[in-house]
Amino acid sequence: MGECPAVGNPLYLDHASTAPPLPEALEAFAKASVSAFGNPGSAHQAGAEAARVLERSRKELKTAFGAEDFKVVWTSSGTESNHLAIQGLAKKAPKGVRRILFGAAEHPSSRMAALALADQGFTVEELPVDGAGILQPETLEAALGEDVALVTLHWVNNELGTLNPIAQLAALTRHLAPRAFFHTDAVQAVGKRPETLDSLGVDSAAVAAHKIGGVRGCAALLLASRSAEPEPMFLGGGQEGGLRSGTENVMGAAAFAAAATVRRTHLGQDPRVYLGRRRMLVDQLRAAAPDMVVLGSEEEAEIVGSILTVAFPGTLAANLLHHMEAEGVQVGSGSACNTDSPKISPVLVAAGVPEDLAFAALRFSLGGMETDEDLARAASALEKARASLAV
Amino acid sequence: MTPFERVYLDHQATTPMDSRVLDAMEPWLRERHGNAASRSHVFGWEAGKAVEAARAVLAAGVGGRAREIVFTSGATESNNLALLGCARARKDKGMHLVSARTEHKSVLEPLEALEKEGFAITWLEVDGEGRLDPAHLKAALRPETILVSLMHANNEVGTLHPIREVGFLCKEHGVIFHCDAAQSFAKEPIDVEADGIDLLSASSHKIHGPKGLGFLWVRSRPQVSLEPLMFGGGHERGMRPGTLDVPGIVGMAKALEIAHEDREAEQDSIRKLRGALQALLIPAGGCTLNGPPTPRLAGNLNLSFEHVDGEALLASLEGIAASTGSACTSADLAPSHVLLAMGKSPAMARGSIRFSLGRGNTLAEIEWVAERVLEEVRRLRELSPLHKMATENS
Repeated sequence: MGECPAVGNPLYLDHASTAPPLPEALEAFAKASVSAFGNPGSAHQAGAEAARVLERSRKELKTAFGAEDFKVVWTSSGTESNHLAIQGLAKKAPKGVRRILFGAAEHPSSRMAALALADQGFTVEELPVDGAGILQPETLEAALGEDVALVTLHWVNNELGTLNPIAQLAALTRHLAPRAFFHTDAVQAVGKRPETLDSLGVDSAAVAAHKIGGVRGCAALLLASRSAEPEPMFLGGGQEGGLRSGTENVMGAAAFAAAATVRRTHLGQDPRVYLGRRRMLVDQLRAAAPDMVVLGSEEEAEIVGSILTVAFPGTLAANLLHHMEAEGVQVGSGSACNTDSPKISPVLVAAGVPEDLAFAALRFSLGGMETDEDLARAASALEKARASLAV
Repeated sequence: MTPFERVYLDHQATTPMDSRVLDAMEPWLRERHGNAASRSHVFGWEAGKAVEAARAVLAAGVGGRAREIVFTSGATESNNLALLGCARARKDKGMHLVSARTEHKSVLEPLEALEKEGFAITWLEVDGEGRLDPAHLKAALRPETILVSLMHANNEVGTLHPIREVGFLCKEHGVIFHCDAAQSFAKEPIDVEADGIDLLSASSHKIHGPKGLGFLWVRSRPQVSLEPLMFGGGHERGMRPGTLDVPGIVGMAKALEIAHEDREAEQDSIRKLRGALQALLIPAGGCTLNGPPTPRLAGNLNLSFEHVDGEALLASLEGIAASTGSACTSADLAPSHVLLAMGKSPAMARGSIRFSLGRGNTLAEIEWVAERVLEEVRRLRELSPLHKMATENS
């Protein structure tokens, strides 16, 4: 289907948009599609086998993400997980507890899920972030109170790669807003950060298979065992303990668990795998373009290694992308979800990135297995692209 | 007779993925793994084109336009989006809905949620075979009726509803018609234009496609507006956000293409096998067909055996995959809400067993299954005091 322009062996550096499935995930997917094709709700052998694979995947996912104190609710996307948590938990808030807090640099799916609560009698407040897109604890502290029903803050910003200090923010929330639920969108963080989910102190976390090399169409909401259950969004057969009706995507779950396990193993062997790759990429790019501006942060404590957003003053990102594509290097600009709209990414606006830099921003996002040659190739493609644009 | 190790007769619960479907998905899982929303690079463009091609195939499968397909995670989400989304978007026009108690739970539950939001619902009666009378629908429609939701084929007893007549009545009254076609899609002819459907739910895993995927077809002329269940990202014309499952979408379209290659012949052969199974089981005696002989979904055979508990029969049929009701609820032991709505007694409802036949089943399998069922029915009846009393009294 669809013809493919001639690009020999392209180098894909847009993993934060979607990552290619890992071989282990594909194998688990293909295997489950044959041996566990049954409906996990069926009482017979085919159903029981599917249910076994589904439950085993649940356990593996918890182990891989260090989420032993959580239960796994399978969903179809990070967007669905964010909605189930934000809308579903807010509806469980006690009477009179009506404030919803979200960060100005959240992914549109969290942001919109929070904003939609305004129609349901909630007061929804956007909290400002700093120049790196990080929500500072004092900003949250000033907004917290007994009347806060839910706080939603991502762990890793999808465009800038900066980290919110989630454990600290969750602890503050528990202390100053004891009735509030704390949800984190961990889609860009899990599999890339060594910390466990258990260490964060959150009520819920959204995770998605396709960002870590699983197969699309499967994601999960991890719910702390001590936390209340969200009001379900899809009603029907009562699967997933009534929290999410619909026949479970068994093969997607098997692939997700397999990918998560691989990521955990890699991180276990080398916790700095992403940070190391990112640093080398920065060095290579800077050598090719000394005027390059790193957006977000260069402090290792503040970033995830898998995402690097940089701006090349005076060069439109859209043009750079096409020239790099011609060199066989695929990178992103802004979040994939809104590349059709020519306006500046709201995340970059929230972080106060000047307009000229925002239009010149490229996002390199790594899979963690890039070789030194790959990174050198990216830098050389950038250099060529800029040179041809300068003519 | 040669015994089989396993025979799968539960195609209405889910179907094994066709190997040709997995083959079609492969390139999109491997070298062409782009995000369909990424316009900036070639992987993204390719994925976008593949999604549009699949959309066209699926839309043609129901007689609609490509842009009217909204991809979802399955028929449950489609039903929720259709009902909650349409009712909430149209409540200024009226707050009355019409449906039937024999619908799937993913229709019943959202309707009950809407009832709590203040909507009034008229539940149409069905007859002893699960059929509904269009005259009842006509009588139920009021000026404030905004939406009618009726399935095409019943998931438990296989009854086919007269959707064309339903659609006609809905058009006449300016009411939106939602049809849950999860069980009939790719099996029975569906034409959203001729059938007067405005919203149609379909699922991929019931047609040998991948799980975790379905669609809602949403009429665009005139546009049926829906209040989305989820927001953000702007995918699917604002009706349903989330990164598109490109390999899954390609797989679902392939599954439809395979089913439509020779749809009538395949359904005829499945219908013949179902007839054979039914005929072979008649000698058991005390065996009643639930649902009508016709019009009925080709693969569905739902039977009640007098003095035999359906669960006990299933449990004794080792290696044979069938069910007592819908898969999502088979864990709970309440009698089927569908059979109860058809006026069956709780005892008869508990005695029911659903065989759903599909692609790949053979006559040899059916003969073996029939023999096993007859054997087990005989054995269970010998153990049943009720059966003993009944035979002694006759």
